[in-house]
Amino acid sequence: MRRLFLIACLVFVMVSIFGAITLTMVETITSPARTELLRQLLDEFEATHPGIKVELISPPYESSDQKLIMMLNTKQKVDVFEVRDNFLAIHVNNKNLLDLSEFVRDWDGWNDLIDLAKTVATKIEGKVYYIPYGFFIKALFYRKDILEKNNIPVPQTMQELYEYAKKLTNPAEGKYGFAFRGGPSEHSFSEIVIMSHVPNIDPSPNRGYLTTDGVPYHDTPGGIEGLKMWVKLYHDCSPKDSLNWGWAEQVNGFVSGMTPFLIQDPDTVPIVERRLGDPNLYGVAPMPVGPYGKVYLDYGNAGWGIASYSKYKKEAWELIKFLSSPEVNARFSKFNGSLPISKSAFADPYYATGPYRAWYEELTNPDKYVFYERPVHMPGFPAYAEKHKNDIQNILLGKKDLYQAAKEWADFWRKEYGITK
Amino acid sequence: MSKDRRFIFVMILPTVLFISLVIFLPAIRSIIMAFQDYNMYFLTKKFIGFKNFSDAFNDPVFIQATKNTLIWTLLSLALQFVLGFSLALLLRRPFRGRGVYTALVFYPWAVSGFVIGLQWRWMFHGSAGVINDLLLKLGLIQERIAFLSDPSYALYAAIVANVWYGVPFFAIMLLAALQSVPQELYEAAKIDGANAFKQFMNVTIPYVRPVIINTTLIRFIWIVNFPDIIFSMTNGGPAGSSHILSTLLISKVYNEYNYGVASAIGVIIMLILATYAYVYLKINRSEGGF
Repeated sequence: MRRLFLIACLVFVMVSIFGAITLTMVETITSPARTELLRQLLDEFEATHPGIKVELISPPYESSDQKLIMMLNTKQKVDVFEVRDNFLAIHVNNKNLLDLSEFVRDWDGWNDLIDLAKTVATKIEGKVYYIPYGFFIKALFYRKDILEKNNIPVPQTMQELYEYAKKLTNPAEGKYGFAFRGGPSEHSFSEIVIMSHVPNIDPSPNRGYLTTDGVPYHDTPGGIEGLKMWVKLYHDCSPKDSLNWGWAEQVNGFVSGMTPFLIQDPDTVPIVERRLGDPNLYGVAPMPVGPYGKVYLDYGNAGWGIASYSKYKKEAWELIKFLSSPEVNARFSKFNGSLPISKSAFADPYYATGPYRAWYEELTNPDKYVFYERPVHMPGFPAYAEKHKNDIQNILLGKKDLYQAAKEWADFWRKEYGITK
Repeated sequence: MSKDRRFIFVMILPTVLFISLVIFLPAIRSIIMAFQDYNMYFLTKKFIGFKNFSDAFNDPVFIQATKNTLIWTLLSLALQFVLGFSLALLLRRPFRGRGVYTALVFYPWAVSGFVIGLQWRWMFHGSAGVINDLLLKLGLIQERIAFLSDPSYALYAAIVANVWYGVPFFAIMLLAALQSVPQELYEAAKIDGANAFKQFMNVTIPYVRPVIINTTLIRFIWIVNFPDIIFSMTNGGPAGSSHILSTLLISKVYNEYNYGVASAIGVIIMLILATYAYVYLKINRSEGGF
């Protein structure tokens, strides 16, 4: 009897192993909690799609991108994988991403996507290489309680941000206005303030950092003005050690009340809310605008794509469709802290009210909030980001001339773009 | 004899193969990479001669990192050794609660370098750090110092953390060595009229000398190749002022995706360490160290 049972079990296992298709999915922005949620969603997918199993590979975050690229280049079994905006070009260059245009044609979910989602999905040669799952766009967090106590309104312009932050600054009491970011990835903060002083940034993809005159913005008069503003924000409104602050220090400064203005992404909302313990202590406002009444925002995003050499392309597309459906995407976004990709998800009260309204505002006022793309796909970008960080820190330390740095950055991009003027 | 030899050869063959596979092969691969245009954007792997090396040498951060590696290694090593040796001497004599005390002293060695870096990063924090609080309360400073954001302090803050971390290593190794010094030698020295200092110089030191040489040699190499603390405390900042070669290498891989230059830096580290080990052993051998 027992033997019979064992045999039955074995047969069942064999059938489920060899009878079903197993998709291999690789995520790269890994965290234990997100992996758990993703697994849950995959279980639901398996339940509604009998015959398809999904194996989820979650390399540790620190080396996940490298690991994924290695897996793809050595043609290991990968069907669906996480595509981050800064690696999109690499995957396409290496011919590892499948063009989804065929699939998308028969997908009614496409028309429900917000414009930005369609723009990023088709940004390389108009082909759909991935379906984004969410966006990270920056907005201004402020401490309601502290602003009220000091009788300070929410800033609408960069100039106001500077003035109010300066008013709040009193180093003797350990009080400052602005949660400056000088450490890793500082460029995605400094550039918002700097570029808002430039009247004519070219928003078209593949023209990142260029003005409509076709030159890098860095050493234009506006670029210099903006850089000076960023330097003033540090010297007059920020703690000294924010020169090297990363995300954790910024959030800490904000939550502790030391720096009541903070520029951050939507994924900071849950953390700020949990650590403050009271949603009435803070608010999120759309990004203050520069002297020309607008501000240029870049949009970090990631999504799901299919390996060009996958044997199960159709099944892989089923999975992506499932993950991109408004209901599943909204659940994933709430957890992930990213902005959802579909119009119907934005109707969810969770996004229509509260802190997320600020982002909705940004997404729907194209005259004020201009979305552009940093040239993250260009091979020189990582080196530029590192140089930018070091140079800004040296400027703040008084060890580098501001004009010289701006000129070097502009020269850098002139060379990258092959611009001679 | 030749049969024995063959037997020995067969027995060590698996180990040799294994080591070749996991150590020599990657090492050779990375040396090759140092001469290639190898980054994640274009996997062309074109050979470009010494360009990666010249790129490295033309980078002011690389020059700074080389100087820093020297300061970081020598200062850390010297302080770790002196403090570790003193600790070993203190722990050598029995006293009440020695077991507990010893365990406490050895604790840092059991903690991961990254965790230590994070701990010290908060302790050195410019506005909320306990070190600033202490210095203020003691009246040693008038206003808070942004240790990790000031190029003149950042590297030294990391060295303090590294010393804290590395002292137990020397304490453990030297304590074991000290305990193996035969008591009779001290008794004989005492009869000959040697005072405590002379006993130390003429009995203790010569006896533990091989251990000192080996531990400082190993430790030197470890410290050069120990990016954990700097990586998590300052990430080489501000403005690259606290990079050592091994953290710069990491930054080239993970921030710039430039494997070629990173490999070139790796090769440079390897050359420095090989030269160091050779010279160090040569000097000590000629003095009869082994």
